[in-house]
Parts: sequence; C-alpha cells; structure tokens
Amino acid sequence: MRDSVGATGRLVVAAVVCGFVVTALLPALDPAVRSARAAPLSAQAARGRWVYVREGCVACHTQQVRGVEARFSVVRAQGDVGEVSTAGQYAGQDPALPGRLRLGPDLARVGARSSGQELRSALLSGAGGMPSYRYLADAELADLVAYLLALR
Amino acid sequence: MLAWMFTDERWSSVRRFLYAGALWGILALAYEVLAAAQRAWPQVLADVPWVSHGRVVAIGQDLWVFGFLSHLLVGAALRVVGQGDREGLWSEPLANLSLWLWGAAQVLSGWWISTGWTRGRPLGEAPWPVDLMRLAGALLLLWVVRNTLARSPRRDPALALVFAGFAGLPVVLLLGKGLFWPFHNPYHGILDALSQAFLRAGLVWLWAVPLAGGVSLYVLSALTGRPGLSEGLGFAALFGLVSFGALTGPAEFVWGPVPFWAQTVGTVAQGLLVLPVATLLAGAARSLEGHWQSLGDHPGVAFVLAGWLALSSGVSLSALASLVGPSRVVHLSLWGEGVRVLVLGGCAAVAVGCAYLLTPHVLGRSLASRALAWRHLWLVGVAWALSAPALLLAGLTQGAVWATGTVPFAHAVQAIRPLLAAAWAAAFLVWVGQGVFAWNLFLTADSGEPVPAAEQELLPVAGS
Repeated sequence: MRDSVGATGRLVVAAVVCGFVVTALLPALDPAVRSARAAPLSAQAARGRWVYVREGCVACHTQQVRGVEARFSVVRAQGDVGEVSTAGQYAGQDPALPGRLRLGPDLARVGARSSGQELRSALLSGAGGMPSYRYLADAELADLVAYLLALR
Repeated sequence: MLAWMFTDERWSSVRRFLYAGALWGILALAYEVLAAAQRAWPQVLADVPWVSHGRVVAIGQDLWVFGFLSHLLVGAALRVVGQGDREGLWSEPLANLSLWLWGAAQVLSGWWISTGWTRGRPLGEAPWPVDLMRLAGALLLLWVVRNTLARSPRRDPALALVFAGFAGLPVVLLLGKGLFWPFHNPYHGILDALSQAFLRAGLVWLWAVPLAGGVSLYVLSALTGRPGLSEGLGFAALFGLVSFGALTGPAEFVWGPVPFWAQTVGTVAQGLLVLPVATLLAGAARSLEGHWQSLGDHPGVAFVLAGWLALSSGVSLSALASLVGPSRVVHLSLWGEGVRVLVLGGCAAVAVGCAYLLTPHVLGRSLASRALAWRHLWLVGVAWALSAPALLLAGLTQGAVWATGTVPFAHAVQAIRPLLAAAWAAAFLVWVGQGVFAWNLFLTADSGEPVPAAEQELLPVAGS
C-alpha cells in the first residue's frame, strides 16, 4: 500500500493547502481589504482589548454588522447597529474578533451608542443576561470600558 | 518509569488513547455542563475569574475537540491501522510519545487558559507552546501511521480515510494557527479571522470526520463480514470530504465582512459536503445489510449508526443555514450551536461506538456490561433529543427577534432562557453517560471475560 499511501497523503496536503489559499489568503489580498486601515487604539484601549480577549468576551459577542441588519448609517441609541462591517475594519487586529455567536448584543459600534458609565454599570451588575465582572481590578475595568468606547 | 511510558507492548498506545479519551471526556463534559449552566443562569460562579464564562467555554471546547474526541478517534484509528498485516503498529514507543505530548499539552492548555493566557481565537485559544506540542504529536502519529500502512499489501478506502485524517491535521494546525511562525501570530485582520474559520472547519472536516468515517467503515465491515464502500466510492468520499471541507471556512461569514465570492465558495462547499457524508452513511448502512439484528445486539453498532445519522442531519442543517435566505435569520445565532451538537456529537458517538466494538480487540476482554452501554446510548439519545431542537429553536427565536430591529436584544435572551435550561439538562445527561462509559471501560479492563487470542484479530473484508 506504500504507493497509495504516498499519493493519498500528497493529494490531501495539496487539497488542504489549496483550501487555505482560496478561503483565507486570497480574500485577504483583495485590494479593498489591503488598502484599509482601522482606527488606531489608545494605549488604554489597547490594554482593554487584551482584557476583552482574556475574558473570552468573543464567546458571546460579535463585532460584525451584517448586510442584512444594517439599517441606519448613524448610531444614536440602543438597537442601532450602524453601517455594514467591512473587512478593512479589522485591519491590523491580532486576534481579529468578529465572533461567531451572538448571545449578547453586537459590539461593533457599542461606543457610539453607550456612555462609559452605562458600560461600566453593565459590566459590574451583569445586566441583560450577562455575568457580572466584579472581579476585574478598577484599572482593568477602566481599560475595558475605554476599549468598548473606542468601538465606533 | 520511562520504560513504562514508552513501552513497545502491542496495542499499549491504543489502550492508553482510549482510556485518556474517556477521562478527558468526563472533564470536557463537566466544562460543557458548567458553560451551559452559565448560559441559562449567567451568575453561576460569575465571581471566580478562572471559571468565568468566556474561559469555561474556551477550555471546554479545547478539551472536547483535542482531549475527548481526538484521543478516542486516534485510539480506535491506531487499532485499525495496526491490524493491516497483523504485526501491530510500526512503533508503539513513538505512538506513546505522542500520547504523552498531547496529554501534557491538554493539561497546560487548561491551566493557561484558566489563568488568562489565551490567543483569543475561538477553538484556537491554546497558547503557542501547546500548539507546538500538539503539532509534534500529530507529526509523530502521521509518521507511525504512514509506516504502518506502507507495510500493508491492501488498498482499502477505509484506511485511506484514516490516513487522510492523520495527514490533514498537521497541515490544518500549521496553517490555521500560523505555526510556521510560532512565537508570534503571523496573521492580522481579516486574514486572522479567515484562518480561524479555516482552523475550525479543518478540525471537523479534515480531521475528526475522516477518522470517524474510516474507523467505522473498517470496524463495521470486519465485524459483519460485509464490505462497506467500493474502492471507487470510498476514494470519492475521501476527496469530496477533504476538498469541500477545506473550503467551508468563509461560510461563517455569510452576509459578513469578507468578499462576496469567498462567501459563495464557502456556501457551495458547505452544501456539497452533504455528498461525501451521505456516502459514508450509506457505506455504514451497507455493511449492516443482512445484519440489522446487530443494531439490537450490540450498543456499539447502534452508537455508530446514531452518530452517522446525527452527523448527516448536522451537515444538512448547516448547508441549509448557509443559504442566502435562511442565513438572514439564523446566522450567528444559537442555530450554529445546535448544528455543532449534531456534527461534533455525531463524530463523538461514532468514536464511542467504535470504542465499545473494539474492546475485545484492544483489551482482550469482552465488554463488561452491555446493559450499561445501552444506558449510555439512551442518555445520549435523550440528550440529543433535548439539546439539538432546543438550540435550533433558540436560534430561530433569536434570528426572528433581531429581524424586527425594534425589539430590545435582552428580550430575545429572556425568551430563549427555558431552551437554554433544556440544553443544560442535556449536557448534564451526556456527562453522566460519559461517566458510565468510563466506568464500563474500567470494569472491562479489570474483570471482563477474556477473549481467545484468535478472536482478538480484526480481520478486514476484501473490497471493504
């Protein structure tokens, strides 16, 4: 079976590599994606992003407004999600956090529709079906709120 | 100590992978139970950082895929591969080394994610040292399997499927996690998001499903004496699975922020995956033709068939959900979790069924209690009947509420709370079932009736 093992192995590896090139590499090389730059984060917001990553917020929150739900281009109040998200919006992000499950609201533009006080209060009290994050240190909480406010 | 760890005793690595899978499964499902409880009742252990919901979900998924499912499938696959020319595995010590590497990686992964060290990529949270240990283990297994199969004179599509899984995993880890540049994530932005999706798709369609398919086809045909798939159909299923599976990643982003052509590729590939999965289900059914009584005789056979039915339903629902119309409603909702219960749960059921069927051929003893195994099957069956519809319905409810655009988000969460409680009850039942499974394996190893040496072989059927 030596020959067929070698042939099967080579075909599998070729199929997997082609799959990666077609589904990850080529879409990312799209000119519109490459030319886009996301707004830089302040030092505090960047620290808050790591709190977001560490606590696994992405398990329940997305950061992507889909084409079917973008109704208003201006975000004014709860429920407004703003314009549809584009690939360029994630430029430079490591890790990118579009999310894949929405148990809590989408956070793509949460900073445009919520105040710092509202966000801090929601994180501490666990409002709306979210667990509370009282165990976060004051500085970490402030960093996380700064990051959320930067999402616009 | 080292001599015991890296023993060359025949099937020692197979036994250890199966035991490890059973034990990791208990831990994985405990995390699943906790995560499901926190979804239904968000304040459960909310004040304890190392079991906060985000970390519990990450550790639970990692344990489920790399601990429970992978160990069970590898154990069963190594037994099947080693049967080829009846000489066992090419190198038991190397297979044992990969077991210890993966075990150590699993412990470190759980510890580090608990303490907050994570890469933050869903199903790819483990920090890079863990990934490197897993990659090393995967490469060792590939080397052992390749050299074992190379000794065999037969061309068997079931074994080719198994080999495809072992060949696919290192590439999926290398590309999906960017391990060619291990100390720093080489991906950024949308490339990072798409490589995450590639990794998730790859772990299911290029690793778990080929292994589950190959092992179950081989075991069923050896036990019933009837071939499953012809060589042509078997290889067609293999390449369908690998080719379409590698392209499904962008289906996660339907209506989302990736180019439309990429969404289309992902959606079409997702739909086409129904074909190889249905072929594998047909192969399993063909092996049982004329032996349908074995479904009632041995719970392992029932587990395998139930697993394939769940997997087929999952892939069909997944294809449906990635279509333009339905995805407007259910995308990003709990519908996806319902599908994952069916797909990954189906793979796990196939692996568990094969483990039950292989006990005489691995432990040299008959299964200690078929009654316990039947109870395990019932627990899992009731759990599926509870959780899959509950999560699918929850997804539909969420999607319907979001579509209005006027009902506050919290109302959707409130509306699905009873369904989330049902999903928690289901997770609890599966956890109990996993305990029953591990206990039955222990009883078998400890006091099962010895099987004569001649009956411990697992002879393949020509043309299987």
